[in-house]
Amino acid sequence: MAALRHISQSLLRNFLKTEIRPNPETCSVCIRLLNYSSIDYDDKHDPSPKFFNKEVQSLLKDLTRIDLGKVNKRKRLGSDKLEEPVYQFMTDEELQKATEAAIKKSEELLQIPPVVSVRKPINRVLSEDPALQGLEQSTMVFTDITFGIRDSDRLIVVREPSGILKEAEWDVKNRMNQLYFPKEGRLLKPPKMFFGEYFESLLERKEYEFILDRACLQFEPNDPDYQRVTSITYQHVNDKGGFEMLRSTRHFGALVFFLAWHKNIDNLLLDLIETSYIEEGSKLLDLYSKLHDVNFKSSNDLEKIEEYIKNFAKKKAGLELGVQAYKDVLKQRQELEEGIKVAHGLR
Amino acid sequence: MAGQMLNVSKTFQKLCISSRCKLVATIVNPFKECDAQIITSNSTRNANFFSKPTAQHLWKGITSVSNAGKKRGRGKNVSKSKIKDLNRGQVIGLGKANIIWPGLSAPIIRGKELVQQQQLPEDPEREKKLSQLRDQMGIVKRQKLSPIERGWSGHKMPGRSIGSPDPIGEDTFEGFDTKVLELKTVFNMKGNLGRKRRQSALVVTGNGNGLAGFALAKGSDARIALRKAKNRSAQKLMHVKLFRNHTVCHDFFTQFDTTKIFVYQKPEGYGLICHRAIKTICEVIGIKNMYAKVEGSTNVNKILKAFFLGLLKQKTPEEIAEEKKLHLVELCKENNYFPNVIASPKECRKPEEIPKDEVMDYKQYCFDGRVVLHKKKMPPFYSTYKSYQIYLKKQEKLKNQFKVKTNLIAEYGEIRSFMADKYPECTQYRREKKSEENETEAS
Amino acid sequence: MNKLRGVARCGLPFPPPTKIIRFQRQGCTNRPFYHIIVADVKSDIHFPPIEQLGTHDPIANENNEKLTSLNYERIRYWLSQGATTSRPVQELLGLAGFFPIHPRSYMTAWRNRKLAEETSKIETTGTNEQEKE
Repeated sequence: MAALRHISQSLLRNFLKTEIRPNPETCSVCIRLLNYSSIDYDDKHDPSPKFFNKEVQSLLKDLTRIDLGKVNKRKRLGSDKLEEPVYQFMTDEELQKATEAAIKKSEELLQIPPVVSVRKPINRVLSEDPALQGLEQSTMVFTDITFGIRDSDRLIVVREPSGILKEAEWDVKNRMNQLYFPKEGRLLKPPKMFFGEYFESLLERKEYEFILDRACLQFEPNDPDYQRVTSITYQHVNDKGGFEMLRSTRHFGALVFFLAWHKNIDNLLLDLIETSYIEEGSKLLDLYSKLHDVNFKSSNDLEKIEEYIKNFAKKKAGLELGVQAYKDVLKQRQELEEGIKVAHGLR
Repeated sequence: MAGQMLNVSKTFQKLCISSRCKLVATIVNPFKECDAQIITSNSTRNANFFSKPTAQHLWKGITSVSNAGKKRGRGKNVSKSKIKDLNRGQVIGLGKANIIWPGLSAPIIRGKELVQQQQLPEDPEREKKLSQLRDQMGIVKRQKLSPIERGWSGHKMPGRSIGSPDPIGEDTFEGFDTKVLELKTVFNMKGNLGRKRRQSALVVTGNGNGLAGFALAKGSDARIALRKAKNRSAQKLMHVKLFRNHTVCHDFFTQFDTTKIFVYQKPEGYGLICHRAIKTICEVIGIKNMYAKVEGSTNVNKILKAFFLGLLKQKTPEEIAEEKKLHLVELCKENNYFPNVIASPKECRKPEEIPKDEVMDYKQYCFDGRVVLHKKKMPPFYSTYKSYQIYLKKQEKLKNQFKVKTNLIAEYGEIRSFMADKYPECTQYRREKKSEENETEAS
Repeated sequence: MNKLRGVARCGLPFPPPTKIIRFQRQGCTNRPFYHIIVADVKSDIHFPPIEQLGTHDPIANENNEKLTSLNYERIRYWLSQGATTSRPVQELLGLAGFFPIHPRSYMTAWRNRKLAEETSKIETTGTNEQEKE
């Protein structure tokens, strides 16, 4: 059975290579980073109301496919030596309680980073005093460090050499917040790994989780740099089929939302069909319909997928073949089961 | 009389000074020139001190000390390495003057021709070869050991590996390795032989996967003793339980006579941090990560026995869970403290069934109710000095220096200020190399 | 009597302030750095302050910015307690938009502008003369 499925999958992949994906020779040219451009969530269509919708959130969570083993996999914590484990004797109830608490904790770890539109530039002049021209050669930045204010609410003003007093720009604000109220792991200047060849090489090595974790730490979600880094990474994942690497991490939900928002779910859907997760495929289509106000007539999972392929898919041939292979596998499985029953003399 | 003394000294020098000493040339050569003088000025005798004692006698006088002398501590510097047979490498008929003596150093007839006595040019290499031969005499070269083969200390046997035990019939000991723990000379009084000297060897053998044995054997020779012990240890193999194939099952305390050992389970990558004998035993058994503290006697025999006793008494996690009738759960920081059940009993006890005075702490349970005394580490003596406080204050401004330097290097490729474009002196000062200065001065 | 005393202080607050918000120089040789503190009027400049209210870095950083941090809430509190402020702090708070701008700031700005004008004039005339020659 497994062998059959394997064969059908490999067939499919070969087909895809020839038909849809570019030749391996030209591939290296095609999948250069230069081909990826940043796709921001612009403020014309704000994604946040739809992203924070409860149904969408639950769909994204289901698609993340929580694997507790992967969420809590062993990680090195920076030091070169592993921490010593603690052993405990537990009764049944204690064990159950501890497990439940741990599951709750790992669900918190899987919180999807917020998806919002890119911030607008600040241009709020507080006062103009041309008589102050010549007082200073450099700008003066005044930060309010009153206790208990959130970073986003903090008043940060700038007196420019021309005597204009205005609210600070975003990058100055972020810099001042990090300077006076440092967040652990965040750097004053964004590290080089998010730019140029360094970023490219990380993508080539498929260090997706590392990139996205660091991006979450370094940037605010409405930062254009954050959206550039994540959108390019998502596109790379989509093209290289690295869904398995991000599954069961906090970034998978954001990835699915990005793909669904930009109507680019064909590769993901094909991946789900290949791995026989038809239910998840139908959930993906539910998400698609929620984001783009599309209604599917049929309620059956497979039929829904077929309807999507017929009406909206861009890579119809590949998807149709995938569905056909899945159907064949189903049929063969049924035949095999019947054969086993006959062999056992049940019929 | 004085002439005689001169002669004696001359002969002694000829006998015992090796040719690498430059003295030979300087001392001997002048005599050669004044040989005729000595002969003419002194009356010759046919029998003297040097013709009476044999060569053997003379040699013995120089190279050894009498028993009585030894007791008084004489001749400590006399060793075999100093005794050199100057006759070695010398052949009668072949000398400094390279002369062919038919019948002595060459055949009389070569082919169909009669060989004539003739002088060949001097061989400059002869002297060199002779001195080289004499230099090597008495020096026994030890075979060089690679750092992997080396034992605990230098060239000694303890800690060294001596291979797998010999096969018995069809049973071969593949994958086994034997290591020496002790090799020493022991004496025994015999009725007819007196003090009889033998070698005693203590070895441990194992396959690195939980199967190990040890044995002590004696033999007249070290090699024999080691072989005997190795083969005997192969007959006494024991099975040792390992946890995840890399460490001991749990912490434990073990004792043999006055040797007490506290053994601690450690995570992967920790290594073996313990007494060298215990480390060697662990390597043979296949334990890779462990910490052990030995208290009391550090006799290797006792350590070995205490450690093996402790290892054999270990319980597997399943046994512990079954004994306690509770789940054994591992909580690890790297796993976000996700409870990982290592072993479960068939039937778990309920909270009401657990008596109040039962030991529930896993560590204490492993040490059998013992509480290990961890001594508090005292602050260093200088921490109360005023000078140290001043030093700390002065160091305070350097606390971030390394980080700042590395950040600068990452950003600019060198250590420089952001003002360096405007003020070029805002970079790291480097003194010019001295050699270059000298060259410029010279030119 | 009290009123009379008030008159005697020529409009200055009565009783005379005992606390002052001022700079305290930290940093090291050739690298000034200031803490904005509240302290007793008569206390030594190196004495530990009652409270730190902010910092001021008078040397511009990489992005040509002079950084100042101010705890407005506590500054307001101490002002309500009758604390005075030193002139540099008044100037700084004026630039921050917390106080009205200090006249001294205007004066300095005007002087600087004048100086700059003069120097530029001299330079231009100097260059002109050179050209003539």
